[in-house]
Amino acid sequence: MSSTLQLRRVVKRYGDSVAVDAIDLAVEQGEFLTLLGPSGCGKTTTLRLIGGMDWPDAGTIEINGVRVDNLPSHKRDTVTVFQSGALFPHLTVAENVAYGLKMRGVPRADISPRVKRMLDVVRMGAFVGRYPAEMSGGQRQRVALARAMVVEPSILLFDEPMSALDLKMRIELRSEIRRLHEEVGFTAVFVTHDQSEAMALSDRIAVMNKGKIVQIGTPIEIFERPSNEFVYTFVGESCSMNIDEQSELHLSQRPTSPQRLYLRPSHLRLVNGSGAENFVAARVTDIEYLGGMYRVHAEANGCRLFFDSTEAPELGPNHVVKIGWNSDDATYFPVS
Amino acid sequence: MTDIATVAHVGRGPRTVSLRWLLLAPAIMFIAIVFGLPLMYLVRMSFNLHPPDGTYVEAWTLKNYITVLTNPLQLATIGMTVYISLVTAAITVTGSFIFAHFVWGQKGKLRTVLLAIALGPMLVSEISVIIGWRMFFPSNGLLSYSLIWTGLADEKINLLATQTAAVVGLSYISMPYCFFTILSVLNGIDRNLLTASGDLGASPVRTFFRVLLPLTKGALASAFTQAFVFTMGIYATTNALGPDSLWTMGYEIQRQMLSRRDWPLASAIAVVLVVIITLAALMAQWLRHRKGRGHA
Amino acid sequence: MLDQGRTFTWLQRGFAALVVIYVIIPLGVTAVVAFSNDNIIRFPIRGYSGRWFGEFLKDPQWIDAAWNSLQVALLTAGMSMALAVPASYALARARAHRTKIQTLLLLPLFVPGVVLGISVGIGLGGLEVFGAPLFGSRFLVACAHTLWAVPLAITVLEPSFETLDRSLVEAAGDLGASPLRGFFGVTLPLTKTGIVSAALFSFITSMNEFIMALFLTTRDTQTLPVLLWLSLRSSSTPVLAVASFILAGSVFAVLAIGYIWYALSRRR
Repeated sequence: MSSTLQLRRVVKRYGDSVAVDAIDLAVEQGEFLTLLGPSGCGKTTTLRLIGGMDWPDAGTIEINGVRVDNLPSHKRDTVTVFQSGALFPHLTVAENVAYGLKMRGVPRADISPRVKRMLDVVRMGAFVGRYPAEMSGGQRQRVALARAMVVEPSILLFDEPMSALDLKMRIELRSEIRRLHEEVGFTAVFVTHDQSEAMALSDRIAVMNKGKIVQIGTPIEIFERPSNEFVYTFVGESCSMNIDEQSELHLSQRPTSPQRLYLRPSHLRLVNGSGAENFVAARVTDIEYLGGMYRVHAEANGCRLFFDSTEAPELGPNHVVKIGWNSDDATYFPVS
Repeated sequence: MTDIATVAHVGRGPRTVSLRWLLLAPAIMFIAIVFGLPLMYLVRMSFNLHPPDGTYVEAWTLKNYITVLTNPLQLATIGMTVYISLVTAAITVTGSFIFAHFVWGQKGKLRTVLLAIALGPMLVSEISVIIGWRMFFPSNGLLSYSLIWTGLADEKINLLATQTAAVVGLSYISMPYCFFTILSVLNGIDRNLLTASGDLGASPVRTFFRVLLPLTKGALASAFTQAFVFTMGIYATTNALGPDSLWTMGYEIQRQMLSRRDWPLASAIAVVLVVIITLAALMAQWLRHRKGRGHA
Repeated sequence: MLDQGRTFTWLQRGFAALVVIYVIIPLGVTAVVAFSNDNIIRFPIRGYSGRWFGEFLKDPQWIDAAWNSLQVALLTAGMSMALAVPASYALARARAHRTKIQTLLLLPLFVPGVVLGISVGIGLGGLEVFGAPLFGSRFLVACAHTLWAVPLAITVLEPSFETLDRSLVEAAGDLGASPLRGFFGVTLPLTKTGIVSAALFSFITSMNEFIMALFLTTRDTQTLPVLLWLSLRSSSTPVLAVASFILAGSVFAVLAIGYIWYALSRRR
């Protein structure tokens, strides 16, 4: 059985630089896959290649087992939700949502009920006759969603659809998309640089850097078992230190080759000398109050550490403390 | 110039306001004296009578207007002027739209060069345009020569004194205005809209008619009106490049004024010309507002 | 862009190329014929020389016409700037009545040259200033040209004054500059691109204009474009191409000077 979407060794170059470097990707029916990475990593380019806005220089793209990389976007069974929404300003909400159906030759009689139903699904039923200029950004994005979903394409593509919205709307829309995915069960490829968005929405996340997929897995796998330093530091907060450069470092088991130690702030806590398996001596540099929580910043031989505590720590700057963690929580990556 | 002081204090004290009027006064007075007064004088002149051996005699008569609106020659002149202006406007707008659409998609150096080219005709005097085309169209001109030289024609072709030549020249002059009007609207259109349309299944042709054209309708109408109004007022190009049978209102005004010295009639024709232009502009405005909402 | 079909793109490119050729034809033909050695204008051109330039420069009628054009254009630029700069400055800051005044000042642009020509001629031509009749004077022609130059200048200047950061002027006042010094020391230098552009437009508009000039000048004061028009039927020697070339050339020369000035001032 073929995957809904299959990319094989897809390459895209712009001038001398390689934007997408021979990536392989398979997305299954009903799966919500996010392409996550910093700007310039190739995630948006990949999305455009899937949607047909651009051609790959090498490799193949298949949708439901059929090669599509030689088809222009209007012949592919994908629909994109854009960052700006891209609603047609001269058409009403209903006409916008009906557009894709009209282009596919759906009979007139069927269009209206489908449009209405989809608008109710995204909770924009009351805006049927309005124009995009009369609505807020969040409302426009919901209509854009409806316009894309009503067509029932094989794959829904999302190009950072929330980047232009403020925080409140972003969170609202996020749960909206999640709810819709659970109800409707569409197959989606979602692009974002916001890792909390990726974690909240995805079945799987493909972390990208410099045109390659660095790791692909469920949100839990990506967060708890990152395969390399880039993923560790990009997804979630982290502290790190080079073992050999630390003088006051106690480890229950010392690695043989030079390694860099990575820890999450949630792994760290204040300890006394004897009680912990691993600890390092550090000097407190700052204590931030983050509302209900205190973040302690410390410095150990040039490496910056921080951890959170719900109680006000009885410390001040320049106090020397011991910060400890469990061996299970430590992650080592070789020093390059 | 107490602008700074008043901005800091009250911003709208009597001194600022009168200062503003003081700054505007020269320009307003100039327009009133050099534009307003002569126009009023023109309208007044159109009601005078023309004696056989002079220019005018003071009177209040509608004779001139009756002539303009009933005399077959005058009516034909009006008709031809309107006709040639409509044709020119249609051709210019269509061509400018295609060119502007192309330039819209270009970037960098090429775009700058194309913009400079589009600006060109505006920087050149109408007379230079006329002279240039008058060396191109006649039987011993460049066109005829190139056609024969490339073998596309057997004998000399004379396109001077044809309607085609006139329209070519008139389009040339109007093109920059239409081009920049259309381009400025195109620049304001989110290209993602075209991408989205394709993404939803519309072929490029359908995208053009369903998305691009509706969004540029206003600009096209505006450009058409501009070209029409502009061409209505031109007579030199039409006269120099077009056939002798292509009589324009401008030419007639000039003829009545300078050769026949019939100032009242010339004035009446001028007034009618301005009225037609105003009506055209107003109609365009009215159509625009009727269109309703919904564009960018 | 890959949104369009490939053939459509090529068609568009072809059309664009045609437009470029279209724009170049009259200018190119003029330039070429200006250097023709023939006695009449005809193709193919048998020989090339600068002969007709010599003829142009030797003919007092042409030289006088060119000189008249220059005088009128300079006069127009001067008058238009004197009127438009304060007006634009005031408009950029005004809120009340702004559109009405703008419309009023832009009105002359919508009236054809023929109409303006005869109305100014009839209306003001009979007047006398300092004992000399206005009709036929360069001053009158310049006034007529200014009717078009002022609205054009305002269109360019108003945005210039509008986008000027007022806090800069306020800072100058705050530091002790009198309003007049503030204007000349801060406002003008910051808007000088707009001012120079407006002046150039006014100059060019006047140089190129010939319909109004046709009605308002006499044999002595005729401008270059007017003489060109009058010579159109009578003369068919390449001197026409030369005169047209010089007319267009002077406009481009002025633009080039303006551009060089602009580029130099940006370097600083």
